[in-house]
Amino acid sequence: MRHVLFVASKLLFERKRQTIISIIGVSIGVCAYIVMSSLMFGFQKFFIQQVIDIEPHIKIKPKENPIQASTNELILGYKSEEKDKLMGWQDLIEEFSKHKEIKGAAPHLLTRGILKQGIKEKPVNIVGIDPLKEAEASVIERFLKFKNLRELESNRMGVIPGILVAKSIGAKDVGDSLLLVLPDGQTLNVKVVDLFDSGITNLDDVRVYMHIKTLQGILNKHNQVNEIVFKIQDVNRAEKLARELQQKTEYEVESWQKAYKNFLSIFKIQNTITFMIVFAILVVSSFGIFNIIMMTVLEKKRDTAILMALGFMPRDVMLVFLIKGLFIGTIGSLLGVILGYGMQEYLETINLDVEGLVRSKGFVLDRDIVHYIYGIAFSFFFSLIASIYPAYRASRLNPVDIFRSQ
Amino acid sequence: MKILTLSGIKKRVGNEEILKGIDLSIEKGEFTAILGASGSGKSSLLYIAGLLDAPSEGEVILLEEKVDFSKKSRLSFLRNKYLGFVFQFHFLLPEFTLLENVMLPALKGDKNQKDIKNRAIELLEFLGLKDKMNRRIYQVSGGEMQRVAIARALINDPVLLLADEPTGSLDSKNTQKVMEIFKKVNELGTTILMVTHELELTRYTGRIIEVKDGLIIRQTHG
Repeated sequence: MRHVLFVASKLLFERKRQTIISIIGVSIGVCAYIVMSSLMFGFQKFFIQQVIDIEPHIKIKPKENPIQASTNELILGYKSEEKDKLMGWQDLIEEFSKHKEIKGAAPHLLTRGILKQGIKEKPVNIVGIDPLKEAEASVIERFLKFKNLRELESNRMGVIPGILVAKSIGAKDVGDSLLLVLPDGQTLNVKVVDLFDSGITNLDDVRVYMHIKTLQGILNKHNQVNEIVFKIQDVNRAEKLARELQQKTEYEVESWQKAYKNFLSIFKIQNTITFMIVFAILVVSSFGIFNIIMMTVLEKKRDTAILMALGFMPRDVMLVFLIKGLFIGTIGSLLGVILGYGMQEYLETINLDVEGLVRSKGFVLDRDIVHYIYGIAFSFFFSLIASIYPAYRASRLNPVDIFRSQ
Repeated sequence: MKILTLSGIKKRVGNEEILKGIDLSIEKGEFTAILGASGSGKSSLLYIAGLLDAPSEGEVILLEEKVDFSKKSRLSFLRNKYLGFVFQFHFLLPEFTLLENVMLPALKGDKNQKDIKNRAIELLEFLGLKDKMNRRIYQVSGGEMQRVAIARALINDPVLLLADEPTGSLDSKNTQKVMEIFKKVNELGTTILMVTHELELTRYTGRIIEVKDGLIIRQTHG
């Protein structure tokens, strides 16, 4: 092997300029992979974590079944009493809470309404909750600005609007008085007891929490609920567990993955696009490596022939040129890793308001080492692939043909 | 002792038969010249003797081993261990110093690198190039390059040194110098098989084999 390394070490710096350009190409590919992956996965993991924390892992709700609804219900958009409530919900909670994977359960009463302050108003989704039970079934309190979840217990006319809801109607602080308009036209004076900020725009922009008893009383739906939420031990098993629970009830059992499947599908597409862009960068840099090694092989035909005459095996010759490709891949990867790390450091210092599907101060980065490992592995793979053919061509040279042509 | 035996060697390239049945033995210690005009088949014969090219027919026996030309790795091993090559052009590697060029074939074996270096320096000293050993090939003359090529061919103490028109690209002064080196190397025990078209050079050799149209037409001992 030492004879191979001896020769390879001398060929590494042949065609210096192109070699440097190829190294830069590989490093850009690796850097792009690291940065794009950490941004993409950072955003996705943040989103999923927030969803898992604030949303139920599994929920039970009445089935939507317009075929069974009466003509009037379809035309007027009404829903029958039975369609909008869970019968025997206490039994369902008791029964399902026995499952060893379920950690907590809480009832919800959902309805829609309009929240007003002065002339400003905002359509909202009202979630009636039992503050004590809710704390067992979600980590909603973590997202409350003043951690006043239990305030709903003592102040039954209290509401906890999402931070964007509050912002859009001009509610600035705890204690602000608002007017809540319910679907049946009733109005209710309520007071802000806290604000919740999950970071997920489509929750913070429409959701308002209030005490379930208050909501049941105003809507005249005493002791009625239309959603039961469960917190489970392993969030990744939610879909499987939901299917298991579905066997035991006529109501619809929905996992968080199913509820957010559109977003999860978008993430898959995002990841595919990211991989395709990085793939394209690495393919281009691979062509650079291929070009350099092919040129070197063609230029070094005579030297290759003499090496073979001196006793180098075809395998040795192949290795000499593969080492050159792997050298470009290695140096390019190392530079890419350093660049990627530097970019991540820089992105973390940028303090800007990210407003979109999620909101955050600055970029949410996933700085898992696995992105570095994959980046290096991809660049090695592409460097190797790009070197194999030229190296193979070199190993197939017939020294006699070369000597005769001199 | 027979070092190399070629029996019934034929070589065809396309429809043309370059070698038409050559029988030849090289004894240990001989300095043999294969003499012939351009196109006579002498270089083809040398490539087969040097295990660089396979004959179309016939067999090659090197040190009592019948050479199997289908086994590329074995051919590489035999070339590296037992044979040394000097070509018309020096074929030195430009990225290496003179010393590194000489060391190159020996690095393939399991010899200690320090021993290899010492042996290479010894050879360069023998050929009068020790003081230039750290130079690159573009910093020395054509004659010096060919002497480095000879040192490279000798680094593994080959049982047979094959030279293909070794003075073909040299002036008369360097030609004489190189031939005297070959003579001296041969006197020190290395067997040499040299291909040339210059009758003049055969005065340094002990045996002359004349080749014409792919056949040996005459053999003489000096």
